[in-house]
Amino acid sequence: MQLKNKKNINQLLALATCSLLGDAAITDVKAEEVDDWKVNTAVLFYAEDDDRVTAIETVTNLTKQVKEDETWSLRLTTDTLTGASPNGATASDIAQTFTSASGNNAYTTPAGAIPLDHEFRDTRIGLDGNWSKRWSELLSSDFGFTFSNEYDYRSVGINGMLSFDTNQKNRTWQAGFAYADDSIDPVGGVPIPLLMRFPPDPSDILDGNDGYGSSESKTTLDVILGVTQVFGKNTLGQFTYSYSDIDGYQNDPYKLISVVDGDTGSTLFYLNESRPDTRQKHSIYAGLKHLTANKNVFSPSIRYFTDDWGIDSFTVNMKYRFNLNDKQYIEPHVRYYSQSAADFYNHSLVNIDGITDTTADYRLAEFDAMTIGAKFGHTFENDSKLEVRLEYYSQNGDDNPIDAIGVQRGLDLFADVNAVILQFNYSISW
Amino acid sequence: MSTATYRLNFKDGLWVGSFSAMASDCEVLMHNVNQMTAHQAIALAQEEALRIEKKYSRYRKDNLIWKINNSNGKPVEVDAETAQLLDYADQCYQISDGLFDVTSGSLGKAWNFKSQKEPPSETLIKSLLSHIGWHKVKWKDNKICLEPGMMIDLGGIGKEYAVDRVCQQLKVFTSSNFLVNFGGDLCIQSSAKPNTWKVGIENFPGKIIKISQGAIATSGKSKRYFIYKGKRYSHILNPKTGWPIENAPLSITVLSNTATQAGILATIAQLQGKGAENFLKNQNVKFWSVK
Repeated sequence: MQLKNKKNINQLLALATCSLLGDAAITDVKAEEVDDWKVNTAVLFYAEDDDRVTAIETVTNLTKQVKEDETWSLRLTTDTLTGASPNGATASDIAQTFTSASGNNAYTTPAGAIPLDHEFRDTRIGLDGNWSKRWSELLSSDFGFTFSNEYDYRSVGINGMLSFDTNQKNRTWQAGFAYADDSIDPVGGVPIPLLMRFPPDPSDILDGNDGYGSSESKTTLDVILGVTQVFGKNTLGQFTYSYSDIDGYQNDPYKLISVVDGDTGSTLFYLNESRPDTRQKHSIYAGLKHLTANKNVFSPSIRYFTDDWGIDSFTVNMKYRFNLNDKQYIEPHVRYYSQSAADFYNHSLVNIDGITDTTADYRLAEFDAMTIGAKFGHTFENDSKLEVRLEYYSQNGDDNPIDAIGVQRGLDLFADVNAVILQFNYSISW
Repeated sequence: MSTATYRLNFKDGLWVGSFSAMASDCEVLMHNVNQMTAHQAIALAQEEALRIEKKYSRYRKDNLIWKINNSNGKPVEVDAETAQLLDYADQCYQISDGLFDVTSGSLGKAWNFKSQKEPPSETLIKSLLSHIGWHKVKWKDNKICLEPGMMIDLGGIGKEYAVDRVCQQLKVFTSSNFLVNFGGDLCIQSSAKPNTWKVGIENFPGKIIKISQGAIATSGKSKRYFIYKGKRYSHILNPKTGWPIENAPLSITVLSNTATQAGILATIAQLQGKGAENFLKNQNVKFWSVK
């Protein structure tokens, strides 16, 4: 039954309502829809111990609901990193001197210490945009772009995702992709992989151009397939498979690897690291969100990752959100991460004949990491929200590998990381 | 019946009075009034809400509605207020081509969306339909006469009408700004600056409307439906067929001058099924629908 011919029902009703209620039925409505601007700002402090990396990240996210089923958002990110980072060279029984990336400075690491490049600093600006739209009761899409720029690195990308609901909206299927094109233009040029570098005499610093190539690039294609399932009234499950294909330059241009004497373990010289120029990654993720009887939220998840560099990793993540009252919650968080080393990882090399790929980057080594922390959230009277997150991160590898030689046996060969993360997040809409 | 009580709190610069009536949480928010005025206003609101509930509830046996529904074909004379409401029901029936029908309440014997697992039999629906239809009601000269077995239910208007009545009375009582909210149907009257109220829309997280004068009503508050053999049966019943309207939105919220008008528009819209949104667009009213 369609009332096609009665376009003036509202007026007829107004007249009828007027005789029931008097003038109220014909006084003007004074109302306006509030533009749905949502602003989310966050600042994150990250500090590693022993004067290593300190980072400050700010995020400003602006979301505008343009229609009931359509949203635009824009996010600006800035990162500032300073401090010292391991340069890949192994600890030695003698002091070691390196030229800095810029080629203008030299730094010396005392005997027994893991060499750190103290000139590590970077500023990154990122801009992401997203357009989200629901096309029908069942189909919605998200499309976006990404842009990120650092002094020596630039990345541009696009991404998209389709979501389709089935089973009375109890199940959502998702398929998405992301494509990024990165260019790397390291300070002082691109080091030639596996090029030998000798400890310089500080009075005779390399001019930074010898043996260095031009800028490099890489592309990354990600494909994501996922399903979200509602289990009953209070539980939601999510399962995601992701695939990444990276093609191009993947070295860290500032990382070295030490070549040591096969008998004494003393450092002879260094090589620029070299990684394969392709990488294929697979990961599967399974997570649950469960709303308990008193509206607390329990969110456990696991993730398994494997790639053709030989890295396998496993993550277990648990969050439990306790509502303290209507306006406040506290959410403890525990995360355990464990990974195996890349096939071409070596803490140092003895024999370099026939070497094609090698790295001593601690991030590609075997290690375990634990994150413990909590988030506190408060909703203000104007519905704005403040969240504060404090976490402790500890990454531990094999300090005394069994293949350590000579002097290495008495030295700490893995650069453990201990860091504190403090984040403030404030969101408001009007 | 228990003694009527209300609660009154001062929160964020507002007096918030609340009580229960018509199976809903009812509240009145007042700005810039003193405690005594707030007490008087909330007492007035509660008294009016309970008066309307008592007078028009079809679940009581001591009121006019019971008398009408148990009149066995004899005419019943009604008071002026009831006459106005029945006139209104009559006009809504005409305007909606019979879709809004205060005699359709007995369909509730066939459909119970809280516990039902499968649709009722066609036979049951047919037998109920024989007692439905406002056109069969004799309504003239303040006298109403129902065929035996028929019943009327003003529940489709009652709560919104109560909101508007309370709003009208408060307007006479105070020139301060106030908001009357009975279970999500609300009316706002505010002339003193600052005079805007921010109202969130049901089922639209983050959707905020600034209102200084007007009313909002929602039809279909909860996701009441069941699925049988892959088909969704919604609680929006067509009084002509006795069956649920197909593809009716789960809920529709309408902004209008009065809560009564907003409520009727939302209800008539839902009865349009998948044409609900188009219907409201053609009426030039502001609305929010959830499919």
